[in-house]
Amino acid sequence: MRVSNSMLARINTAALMKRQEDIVEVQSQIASGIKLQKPSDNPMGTAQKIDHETAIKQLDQYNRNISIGQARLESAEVSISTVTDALQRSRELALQAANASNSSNEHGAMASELEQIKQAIYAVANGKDTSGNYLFSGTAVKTQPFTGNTNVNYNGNAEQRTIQARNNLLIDTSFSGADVFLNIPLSTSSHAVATDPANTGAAVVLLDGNDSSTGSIPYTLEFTAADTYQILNADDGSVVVPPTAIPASGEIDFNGFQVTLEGAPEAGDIFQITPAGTQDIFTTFQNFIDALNASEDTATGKAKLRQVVNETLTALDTTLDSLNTQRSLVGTRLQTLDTVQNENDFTSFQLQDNLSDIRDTDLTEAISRLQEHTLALQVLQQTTTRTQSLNLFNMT
Amino acid sequence: MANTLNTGATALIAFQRAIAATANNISNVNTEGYSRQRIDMEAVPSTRNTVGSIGQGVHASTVSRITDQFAQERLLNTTNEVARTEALATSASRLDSLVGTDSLDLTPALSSFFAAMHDANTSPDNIPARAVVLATAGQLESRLNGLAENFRQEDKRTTDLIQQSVDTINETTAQLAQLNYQLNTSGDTQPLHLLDQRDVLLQRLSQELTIDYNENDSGSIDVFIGNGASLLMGDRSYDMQVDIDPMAPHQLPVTLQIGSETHWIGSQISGGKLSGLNDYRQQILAPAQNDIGRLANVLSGTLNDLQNSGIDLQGNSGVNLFSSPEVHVTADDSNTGSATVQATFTDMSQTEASSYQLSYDGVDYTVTRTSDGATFTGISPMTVDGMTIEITNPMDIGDRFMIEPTRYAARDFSVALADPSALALSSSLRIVDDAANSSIAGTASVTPVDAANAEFSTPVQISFNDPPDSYDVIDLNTGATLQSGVAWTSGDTIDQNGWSVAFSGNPGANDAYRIEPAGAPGDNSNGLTMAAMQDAKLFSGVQSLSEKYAETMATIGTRTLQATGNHDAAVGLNNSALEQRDSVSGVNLDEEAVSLTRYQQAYQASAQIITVAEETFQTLINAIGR
Repeated sequence: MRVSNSMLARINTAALMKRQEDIVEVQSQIASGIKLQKPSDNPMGTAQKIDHETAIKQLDQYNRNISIGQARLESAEVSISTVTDALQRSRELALQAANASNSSNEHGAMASELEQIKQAIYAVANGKDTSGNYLFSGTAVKTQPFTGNTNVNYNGNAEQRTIQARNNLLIDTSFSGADVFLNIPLSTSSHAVATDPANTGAAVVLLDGNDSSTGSIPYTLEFTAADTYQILNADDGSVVVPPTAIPASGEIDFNGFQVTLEGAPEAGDIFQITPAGTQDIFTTFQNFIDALNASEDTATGKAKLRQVVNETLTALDTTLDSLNTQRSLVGTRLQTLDTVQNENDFTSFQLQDNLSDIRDTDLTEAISRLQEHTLALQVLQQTTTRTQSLNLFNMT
Repeated sequence: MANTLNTGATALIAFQRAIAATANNISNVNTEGYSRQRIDMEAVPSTRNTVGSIGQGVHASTVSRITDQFAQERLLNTTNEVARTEALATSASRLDSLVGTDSLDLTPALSSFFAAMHDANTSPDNIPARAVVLATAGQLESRLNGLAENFRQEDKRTTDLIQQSVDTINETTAQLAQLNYQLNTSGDTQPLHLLDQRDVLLQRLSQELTIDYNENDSGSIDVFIGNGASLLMGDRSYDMQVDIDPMAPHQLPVTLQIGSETHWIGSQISGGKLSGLNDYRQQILAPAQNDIGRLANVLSGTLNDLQNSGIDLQGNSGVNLFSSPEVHVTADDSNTGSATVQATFTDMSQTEASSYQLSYDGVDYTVTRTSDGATFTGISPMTVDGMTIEITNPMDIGDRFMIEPTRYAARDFSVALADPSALALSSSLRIVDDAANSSIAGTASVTPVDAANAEFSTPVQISFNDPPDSYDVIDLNTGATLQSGVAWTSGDTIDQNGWSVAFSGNPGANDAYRIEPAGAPGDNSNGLTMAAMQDAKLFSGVQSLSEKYAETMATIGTRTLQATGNHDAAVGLNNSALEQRDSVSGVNLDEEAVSLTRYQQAYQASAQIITVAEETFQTLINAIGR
């Protein structure tokens, strides 16, 4: 082919420009440390980069949510365990009170200790977290959950403060004070027993079993004589069990209940067997304290106290059960959060690794590429000057 | 003797010309489009004499341009393609680097916004945490506005480049018209440099757009485009003008002035820089602009809806977080009917990233989606791609409206909320179990369906009867019974006043539930739903916000890569065409040096002939004179 000077010049110029372009590109990749500088560098990679970056930030955020959730659950756990300890102590006191050898003086001391425990629990129930929000008021975080002294009211709500720990994983991080301190079943049975204040005997009535018939009928256990009892429907006065002699074992069975009688009743003594609702922990304490303060050193007084102690022990036990349930719930949630946090960390680590592969310059590779291009440019520059100075006019 | 003298003289003249031609070649070694010239020599016919015929010297017959018509055509075509791909690739690369810059990257802004939302959710009563949500929403606004502004500038720049291109075309056709005049009036001998100039001008013209031309005998040319529109006829050129047709924004905005008439010729132009610029606008810029606009619409529409169904920190119903997305409707200036058109979004997830043209043929309204030409026909109101289009008053046949749901969306995107406490993180309703409820109904939950319902916030009680297979609904404000004895079976939902209640277990006899306006400071349930929008597949149920953004960026990248690849290929072809042309017509200095030496030696030899002739004559004179 015939070669003209303009051809030579153009080809050389184009080659030089191309090499310089390559060098600038590699240089900029090395300088910035980033090889994915614009979408066209790797369109698929760009989409992946955006996905990865979004996911990594999201995982970071989830882990921040988790930390806050953990802190909040841990506060709740501390509160619950404080209350548990207080209840254990109260239980010991209740057992002591049931011991007939204690006098009303000792009962008074117990009452004042229980009053302090009650106040402590009240304080915990109204506890705040680090940001000054009430722990046990559900989502009404600015409302003091429990108010009132003898009659304690719950002012929070039953809703949950929830955090997102992962895609599609919401974890509750709050407790409704109603669940923890309020709606505590009074009895393990469907009904609970109360002593009539006018009783004069020394009998204590223990109740076991559930009402198999309807479950919501209140009964009256009345001793028509010291050795005879009858059971009436308290609503309409109809007779459930007609007057019957108390068996020697002291055990009376009716409608699915087993009533055990301890001690001797007097004629006219009445025990109300009413459907057991729920009661708040503060009322339980208050009733016990009142009974202790009112206790008399007589057989009747001790029996009345024992009846209350029985009730209190049941209530304390169900409260402890309920607290243990809440506590294991906290434990489960904390464990879940921990697992999810580890998973999030692991996923994030993998994504960062991938992202770095997609986005970052591989320095070793880039530098060797730069050397290649520089060498090529040098060779080109030398050959260009040679070929362009090579013409007959330069020979003269 | 006289013969020899003459012969010498013709040679001197011929070689002088040859040297001049060589000198001209050498001096034009760097002239663009110059075709080397050659002197064609011819022996002067001999005269007969007694010994036979002896030639009478040499004659420089013609000066010719060394060209190859085929190479010239190929050069013209490849130059045209290079110009088109270059305009496309240069603009695409600009946009590509632009969206690749950190300051316009939407990813961090989106991530920060949703992260702030999560932070606010972890302590919904915390004003600073809420303020961060608004601040990051502001970042989103500035990123989206920034992208929109850059798109607008790119659009304007493209129009400016089209204007430049049109100016070049007009200038070039005017120069060609002048050349045509000179060529037509120069008589028999064609001025060679004019032909070179003509070829250069043609090449320049074909860089701007694809042309057809006819070459006349005189060397003058006529230039046409598309299906025969004339740009140049003899010594008359016709001017093009840039004029944007607001009703056809996808067409090249160019008109041709023929006499007093103006013709839209956008659809007839192909190839060259003009078409490359239009390709860029239609294939890369407008889709990106519409995609980002759609993203802005979906983001603001979705979060506004959620805001409106929630309750803020003061217990008020939520108001829009972002400005409400709007559909822009423009009427054609030449419309004669009295119709007005209103378009509103009805289902944001079904919207498409495109403009729409509404036209009327006397029977039906037709909406054409400009991105792919799909048409929808019907009567008012029409539902098209998640929009409702309502036409009031009749349109005349031929009237047109442009409907732009996405084009201006990123520009118009703004944060509407200024007060952090107005962020509606709390749900608007809550359900409360009556304290006396006998049975645990698992959990009862209430979901807002239509917060705009007038009775939405009215406290209502649902009371189950005994047995619990039916329920009553009571308005707690007025005590009125709204529904009575409605049958209920496990799994049923109860719908009332724009909300819906579901139970995960079974309520017992006489159980009651109150539905009351919520708005506790620690409630984040609505905020959680808002934060979940980060992952929600908001685009036709298949893509999330960041996935859509990633796709938009990847599309820009792919198209840029394609454009630069095409450009490289076109440059390759053009180089080979240039080589072919230069190989034939280009000047080679070595060759010219040899010619120069050759002609110089011949010239010296010819001078010697004259000396010899003169000496011979002198010898004769001397012999006679003696």
